[in-house]
Formats: sequence, structure tokens, C-alpha cells
Amino acid sequence: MTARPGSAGIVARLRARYFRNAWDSTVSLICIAVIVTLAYRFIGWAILDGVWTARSASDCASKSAGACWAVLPARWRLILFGVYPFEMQWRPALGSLVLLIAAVLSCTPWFWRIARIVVLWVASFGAFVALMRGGFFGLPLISTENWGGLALTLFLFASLMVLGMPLATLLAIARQWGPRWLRVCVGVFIDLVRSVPLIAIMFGASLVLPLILPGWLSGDKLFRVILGFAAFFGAYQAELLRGGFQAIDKGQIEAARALGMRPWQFQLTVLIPQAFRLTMPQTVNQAVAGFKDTSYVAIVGFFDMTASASAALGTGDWALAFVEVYIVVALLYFVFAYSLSLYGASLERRMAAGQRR
Amino acid sequence: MEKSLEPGPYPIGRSAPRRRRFGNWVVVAALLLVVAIIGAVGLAPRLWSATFGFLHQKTGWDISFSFLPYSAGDPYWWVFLVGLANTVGTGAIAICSATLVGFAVGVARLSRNHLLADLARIYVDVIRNIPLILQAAFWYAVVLHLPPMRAAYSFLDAIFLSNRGLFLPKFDEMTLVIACLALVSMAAWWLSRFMRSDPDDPTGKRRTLHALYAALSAVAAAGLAALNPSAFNIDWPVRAGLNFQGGMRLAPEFVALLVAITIYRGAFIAEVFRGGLQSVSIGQLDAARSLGLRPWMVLLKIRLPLALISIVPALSSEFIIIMKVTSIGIVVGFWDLFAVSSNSAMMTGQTLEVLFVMILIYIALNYAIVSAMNLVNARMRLPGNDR
Repeated sequence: MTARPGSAGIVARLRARYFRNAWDSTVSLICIAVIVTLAYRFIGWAILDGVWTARSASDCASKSAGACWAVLPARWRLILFGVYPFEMQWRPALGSLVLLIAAVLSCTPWFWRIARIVVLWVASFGAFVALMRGGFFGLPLISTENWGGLALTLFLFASLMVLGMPLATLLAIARQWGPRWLRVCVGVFIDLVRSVPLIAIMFGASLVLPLILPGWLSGDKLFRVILGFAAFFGAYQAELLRGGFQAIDKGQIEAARALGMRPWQFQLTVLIPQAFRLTMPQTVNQAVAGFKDTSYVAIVGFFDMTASASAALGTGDWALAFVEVYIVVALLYFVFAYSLSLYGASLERRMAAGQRR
Repeated sequence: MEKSLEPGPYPIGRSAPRRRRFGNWVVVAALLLVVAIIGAVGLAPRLWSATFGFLHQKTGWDISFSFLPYSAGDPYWWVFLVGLANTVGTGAIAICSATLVGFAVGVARLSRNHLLADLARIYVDVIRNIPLILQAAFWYAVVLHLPPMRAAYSFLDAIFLSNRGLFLPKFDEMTLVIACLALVSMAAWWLSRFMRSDPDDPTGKRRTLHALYAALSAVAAAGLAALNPSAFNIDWPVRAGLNFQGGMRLAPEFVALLVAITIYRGAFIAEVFRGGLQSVSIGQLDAARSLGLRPWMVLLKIRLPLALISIVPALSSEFIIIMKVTSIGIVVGFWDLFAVSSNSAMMTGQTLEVLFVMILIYIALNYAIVSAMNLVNARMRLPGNDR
């Protein structure tokens, strides 16, 4: 009996891919061994031996040697909403949903107009802040110290985009077309910000701004930290945009001048959209980095998702379940950051398709 | 991410002013001049004691792990140096380890073995999308939940890993000097061989010079080794009751921070290497293969040297990022420059002055790395490809 052509094809393909020669086969076998061992141990630990109901981590340990997923039903509210008052937690939930929808919408080409994207973000961001903060229509006022968890992480990311992107655009324009003194000042500012770690900038902003700004301007601590964060993001993003500005053909500016457009007119309608378009892949990478960097606020004392993860373990009951909690929180970060990266990659393909002739 | 290595191109519609690249330094120089004038006027002593006088005070607080000797009785200026040494030491070690990881993973991603390439891709995708702080906190928790010292993991009875950190054999300072000299000798020898066909060196002068360096440092190493036979005594960590004696202890904070940065930044460096290696044209690789070079020779002798031209600038940005990112050590209680500064600000109340000192140090650090990498970069360029 002869082998069917299909199976021979599979064998041939496997050989070509994984077992071309002795070296290749060794590498493949080691990889397979690693994958199988990891998968076997992980499935055993997480699924077969996993414990879903227990009162504490030691209770889990007495039941089986596997993962103590019981920490999740006990602590998921803390991870998602931090120390926000328990019976009010529908507010951050709803607010986060609004932000997520805005984020998804701004990924669709229809919103890639300056007016539309600005309206979308101002509206959704305003809705989020109103919901979280309250203080009207009978909603009790909840100050920013009580914001936390995933909701705070999303809020930080949204405010980073809302403040940082315009700031970056302004900085890039100033560095590119400003008068000489402004270009030098902006250059010094950008280089300064970029040579100092983000945490030092947040720390500096939270401590120094109240010393140099009048009280009504310096706001609360979260606001100041976000300002520092936005300055940091803006400095990096401005350099990207400047690269984009430089890649635009000079002829376009001359054409715009010849049409009698004013500088702000062609900056707004010709240069900025193209600079964003040209730097879109890097901008998305920058946004992913910004999303991950929101975890820095944990260091200056806010209750974002990273700090909540530590707090969920801190009480002693669940300290032994640290692997489980960190896996879940890492997964949450991963889902957001990775979908952003994937989106960036798809944009890159889309634009490459536009360039191919 | 950071592109500050090259002077920025010039505003559209204007010709490039020659002085443009010095513009920022003019402002910095002006600021320094102002500081100097204030100092000269004689305000200096009073101003100094009111502002930076704290630098001479005793700190009165302790830090858990440092490369330089430190005690609570030391003054503030010293604690800044201790923090800087911790940042630079950790950063330098992390740069080496992350580059090794990045190189291995980057090469694995380009492997013709799909299994290996996919594993490397999954590593990069997963690690790059999880915040470093979370990873550092995780590794710190892992180290703290290791077995206690009496049940420490042992590797060949020379290295021990426990919840009190990593215990390593300790080498004599002289051993390190000899090892460095030996390394220098090998590098110089390699350079002298590498330069056999250097078009910049038609007379072979530099080649001879490098061979001379190699011989000199080899002789120096051998001489030092002969004069200090005790240099090869290694101080092994030995179990003594519930503790270890001898050897060198790396604190859990340091171990967790190093592991986290290595794994996290290694994933980014892997992408740098992958991009660089991919940028080498297939024709050159085909040419190398058709000359009968083995695959590893094609990689190490043809592909990597050609790729380095585009890798080095990106890699230098990575190095700067790693130096700065050691500042998250505060999450795991590691005393780097930032942690030391923030504590100093809290203890003295001189927030502005402390921040000023910290920022100055960070800028100097950045500038040093950029300058060093620019030197390397200038050397890397292919002759004739100068822009």
C-alpha cells in the first residue's frame, strides 16, 4: 500500500521546515521539548490543579499544589477599580467603556480628520472625567486620590493622548518653523526632558510645580503628574513628528505659498496631517510605550493597575498567589498594548500598499 | 526612539545655518556663564550654604545595596555618587546582558527553523507588551519567595540562590585587572588581524601598533600574574550555619532589577538586531555562501559587521534607555541615583537643589554615552559611504 500524496506532502513539508539536516533537527527537537515541558507544566498548574474557590492562599495550598485562581473572585474589583467606593464602581466601569469606544472609533479612517478626532476625544474624555469625579446630578464627588485600577490606567493613557499629542505637535512646529530663539529653547527643553528618566520627571512635576506655580494653577497631584508625563511624551513624539515634517517635499510648501495660504493654514491642512501619516507606525509604537509607562504613577503613589496588583497581594491572605495576580494583570496590559501594536502593524501594511505602484 | 545622535536637519525653506548644531550649547554656555558670574560676585558662600550646603551634611540614613562603600554617617555629596555608581554599575551590567539576550533572540528570529523563529517572536511580542515595572515587581516577588538560605539552590556548590539574594564566588581585585588586561590584549590582537585589509591603513602602521598593544598588555597581564600568585585565590561562598560566609552577595533587589531589565530590554534589542541583520542585502549573503563560508561564518564575518552600521545608532539609543530605566529600581527597593535623590529631597526639604543635582548628573551620563557611541559609530562607517 502506498502512502497517500497528502500525507507525503505533510511529511515533506515538515522535513523542509524543521528537519532539513542534523543541526536543524536538533534545534527543532530542543524547541519541541521546551514547548511540551512548559505546556505540560503550565496546563497542570493552571487548569488541572487550579483552585477556584478558597478563602485565602494558604487555603488554596491545602487543597492542591496548583494555581490559586480563587484570588480573582476576591480581588478583581481592586484590580479593575482600585479603591474607588465599592457601590459607585459602575461609574469607572461606564467611563472606561466610553474611553474604549472612543479609542476603537479613533482607529477608523472616518475619524482621521483633525476636527473629528478632537471632538471625539474632548467629548469622551470629558464624559469620563465627569462620571469619575461626579459632584453633580446627585453623583457624590470622588476625588482623584480614590481613582484606581484599570480605570485609572485608561484615564492616564487617554489624558496622555489628549494633552501629549497637541503638545508634541506644537513643540515640533516650534522647533521646525519657530523664530530662532524659540527653536533653541524648544530644542533645549526636548533634549533636557529626554535625558532624564520619566519617573524623575513625574516626581519633579509633583513636587516642583506647587513651588513655582500659583495654587489655582498647580491643581491636584494627579494633574501635575499627568502634566509631567505629557511633557515627557510630547518631547519624544515631537522628535518623531519633526522627522515627519522633514520628510515632506519642500515643493508642497512652495505650492501652498503660491496658492496664497497663510503659514497656519498650510501647517494645519497640509503639513500636520501628512506628518502624522508619515510617522503613524512610530506614533503607534510611542502610544504603546506611553500605555505601558502609565505604570510609573504607581511609584509616585497612585493606585493604577500595577499598584493595585501589589495591593491585591499585600494583605497577607493572598501574598502567596503573586504569580496568579501578576499573570492576570500582565494579561490585561498585554491585551491593550498588543492590540495597539497589531493595529500599528496593520496601518503600516495599509500605507505600504498605498505607496506601492 | 531617541534620535539625538545626529544634528537635526534644517527648517524647510532655509539654508542650513552652520551654527545651528551649536545653538543648544550656546544657551547652555550662557546659563553656565550666569552661574559663574553669580559665583564671582561673592554671593557664593552665603548662597551655597543656603542652597547646596546640604551636600556637606551627614545623611543619617542607610541604603541596602551599593557598589561603593557607604554608611549612614557619609555626607550627601557622597550618597549622590553612591547612587550614580549603582545606576552606572547596574546599567552597564544590564547593557551587556540585554545585548547578549537581544543578539541571541534577534538571530533566532531570523532562523530558517520556523519553530525557533516562532518561539523568539512570541518572546518578543509578549515581553514588549507588558510594563517593565510590573515585570520588575514580579521578579522581585519571585526572588523573595525563593527558598531560605539553608535550602538555597546550589549550582556546582559555587553559586547559591536564595531569598536573600545571589551568592557568587568573589575574585580578587588583581584578578579583575589581569582579566581586563588579557581582554584588551585579545581585542587588540583581533583588531590587528581585522585590519589586514583596511583601506584606511595602507602602510599597515595601525596594524603594527595594535599588535604592539596586544603584546604589551599580554606581557603586563603575565607579569602581574607572576608577581601576585595570590591573585588567583577565589573567595568561595561557603555554607556556615544558616548563612553563607565569604563570596559576594548580590541583593534580591539588584537581582530582580537586573533580570527584569535584561528580559525586557533584551526583547527590544532583539528587534534592533533583527532589523539590522535583515537590512543586509541578500546578494551579499548569497555571495558569501557561494564562496563556501559556513553559516556561522556568514553570520559573524559578513552579516553582522555589515549590519552593525545600522545597528549601532539604534543600539546606542537602547543603551541610553537602559541607563535611565534603572530608575525603576525604586519599585523593588534598589537604591539607584533616582531613589537616592528622591530620598534626599524628602529628608532635606531642598527639593529644587536635589532635583538640580540629579538632572545634571543624568544629563552628563547621557552625554557620555552619546559621545562614546558616536565615536564607535564614526569608526563603523563603511569607507566611501560618508554622508
